[in-house]
Amino acid sequence: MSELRWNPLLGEWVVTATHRQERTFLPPADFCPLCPTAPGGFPTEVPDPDYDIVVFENRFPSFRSAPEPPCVESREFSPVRPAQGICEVILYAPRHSSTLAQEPVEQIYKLVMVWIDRFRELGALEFVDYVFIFENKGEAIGVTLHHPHGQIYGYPFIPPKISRELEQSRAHREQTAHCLICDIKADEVRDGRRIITENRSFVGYIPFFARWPYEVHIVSARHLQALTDLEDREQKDLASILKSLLAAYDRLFALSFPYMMVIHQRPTDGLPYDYYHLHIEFYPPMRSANRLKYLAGSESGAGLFINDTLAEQRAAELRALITPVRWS
Amino acid sequence: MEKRKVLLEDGRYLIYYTFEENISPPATDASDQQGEPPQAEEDLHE
Repeated sequence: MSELRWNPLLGEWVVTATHRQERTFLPPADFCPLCPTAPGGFPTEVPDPDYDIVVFENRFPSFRSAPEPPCVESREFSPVRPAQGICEVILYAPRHSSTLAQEPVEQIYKLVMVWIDRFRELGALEFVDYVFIFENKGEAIGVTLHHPHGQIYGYPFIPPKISRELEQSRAHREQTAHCLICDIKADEVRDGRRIITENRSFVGYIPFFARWPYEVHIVSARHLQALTDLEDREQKDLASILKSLLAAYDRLFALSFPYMMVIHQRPTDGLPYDYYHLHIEFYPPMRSANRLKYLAGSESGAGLFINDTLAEQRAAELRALITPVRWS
Repeated sequence: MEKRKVLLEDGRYLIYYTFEENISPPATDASDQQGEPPQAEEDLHE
């Protein structure tokens, strides 16, 4: 059962999805439900004995295309509505012990192409107003399956954080006739101290206002609104810069670096968003080799992040670990 | 890229994506600075 419950205090929806309590939790490697089904082996989510990249509807979704009615009645101070939407899982590779960082850059390019296809297909659905592509990586983030994978949510509304970015971007456009993210990016490039890596199509930096010690934003050089706007050369450049950053993350503490990766694009509700700008944000929870950053009282209770580090110092650490990306 | 959509027994869909064997590297040009520190702001934005 899942439904949307309205929080009038914050003016935003909460998803109640009780069935997700039953989802598979850290199974042993030889019982991974995301590996291909071996001949004579137990059936996994993927019936074929091999695959390149696979997408499927989540067995434990927060949103469904044909949701059940809510289990409670909608009232004045407790509005509720069906959780209509889409939840997909995207398998990056058949190799169980791999990670996106360990995959060849060509495989990351394939993933970019699949992201584009999913954005186009899900965004065309009448009940999807926002396509949210993301990855939770590592047990520190709460991952329940280690097989390399990401997720895609098709939300029936524009989620709160995106709404706020859109509002700030729209206001900046009205005040200055400029794109806010273009201006931030130009300022970061001009300053240079927080730049991590770049190529002709993308630049990656720890923003001046980073909430997380190793937070990185990857921003398109051209003023684009969605992955579907990327030309083929830019898609390959995106794969290159992702590989470059992820490899540096893994070198940082000589471990498979946990992170949340989120792709911020324009909504798909049919309205114009030419003032917005495509970018990818990484939120790693580690603040040192053996310490995690928690969302504690100030962050969770007041919405105010406290970052114990200086973006300029952390950027210098990551920048020193960047190495050239090799295409075969 | 090709996609093959199949319906699972429980009604969910699954899509297999397949790709060309050989993927060419991105075309290079003089402004490509992958992995290097920034050089010129003008190269990066409109």
